[in-house]
Amino acid sequence: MKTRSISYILVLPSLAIMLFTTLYPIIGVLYYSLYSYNIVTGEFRFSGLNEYIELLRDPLFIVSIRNTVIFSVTATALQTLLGLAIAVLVNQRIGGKEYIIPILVLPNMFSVVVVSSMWKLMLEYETGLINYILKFLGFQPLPWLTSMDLALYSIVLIDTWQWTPICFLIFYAGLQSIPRELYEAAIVDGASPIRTFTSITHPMLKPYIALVLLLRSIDTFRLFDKVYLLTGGGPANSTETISLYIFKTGLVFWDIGKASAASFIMLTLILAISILYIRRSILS
Amino acid sequence: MRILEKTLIYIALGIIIAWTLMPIYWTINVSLKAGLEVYEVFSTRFSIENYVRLFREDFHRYLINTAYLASLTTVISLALAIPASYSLSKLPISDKLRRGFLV
Repeated sequence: MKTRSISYILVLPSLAIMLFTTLYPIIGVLYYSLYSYNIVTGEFRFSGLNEYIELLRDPLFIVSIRNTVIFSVTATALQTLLGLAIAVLVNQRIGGKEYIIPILVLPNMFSVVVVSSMWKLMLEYETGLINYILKFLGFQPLPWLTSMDLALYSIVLIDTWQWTPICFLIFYAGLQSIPRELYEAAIVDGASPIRTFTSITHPMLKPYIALVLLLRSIDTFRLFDKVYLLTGGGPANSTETISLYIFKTGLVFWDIGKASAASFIMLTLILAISILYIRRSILS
Repeated sequence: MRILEKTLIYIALGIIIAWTLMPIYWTINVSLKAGLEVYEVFSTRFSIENYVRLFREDFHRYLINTAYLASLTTVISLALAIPASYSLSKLPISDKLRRGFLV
């Protein structure tokens, strides 16, 4: 009995902090989303689902959902495929792995602010390295961050540069856990490399693929920092994401009710994605 | 055949490493230039003027702040997490709480 109470006392502080930092804000957001609450005008009155209806009528919010979904899907797909390809490459019998792996993981060690500034220099229209290479190869320079069609995909590119290493690491760990005998058996049976991949590597890696997809789609869905630092949602709202929309309504225009409603919609979307992934990866 | 395969793998890895290091090279390159030389892609003249200017401002203050913040966060989260993880894994405690906590 005595050790039991000690164990509860030891858990209590971190449990309290976790509840306070996760559950309390969620309930708070849900509460404020039902009110018309604006700090600037001082308005505070119950309005039911009015804020939600207003949100869904706001074309900017719809655009931000569209952008977020496009970004999340393309970035997750690109990073997962690239990470898998690099992991398979590095997993071959080659020398120098102890130098290659640290170099490949390097991008993930920079903070987002540093990464964004680095790429802003690189993608600069007049002086950037990327446009220099394009001109050198005889192509037209591209307005990476200032064109409506390209800006979102430039951010996909930057995110891919930064986060592919993590996908690579998870896949590499997964590949290392596959017993060598399976590959030796495949060689004895005379299986082609493609057949080896589809019959051994892919099924054995399935849980890792599910994990990477889950982590990356949740993280890309919350995209805020890169957009805020690089384009600020522009040009012409073509890179506006849900997080940025919430930030602007809540902390720039101080419309807390609307921002809370938007946060709650975003939370529901993220929960839906994660439950979908977890269900499918546990069931399979 | 084996040699050809290996060469192809190394070429592919070389491209990936170049892609990884390119922004880092570029940032260092730009940081070592002064004035209008920023516009040159490959230059042989270097100056540490930018770094000198950085530390003449209050940059060391920011470094100290960051280190302070990082160590404080580590200490606090360890102080909270170690007892909790010890009691969850070693001491008797209800399974319901254990599972709920991990979520």
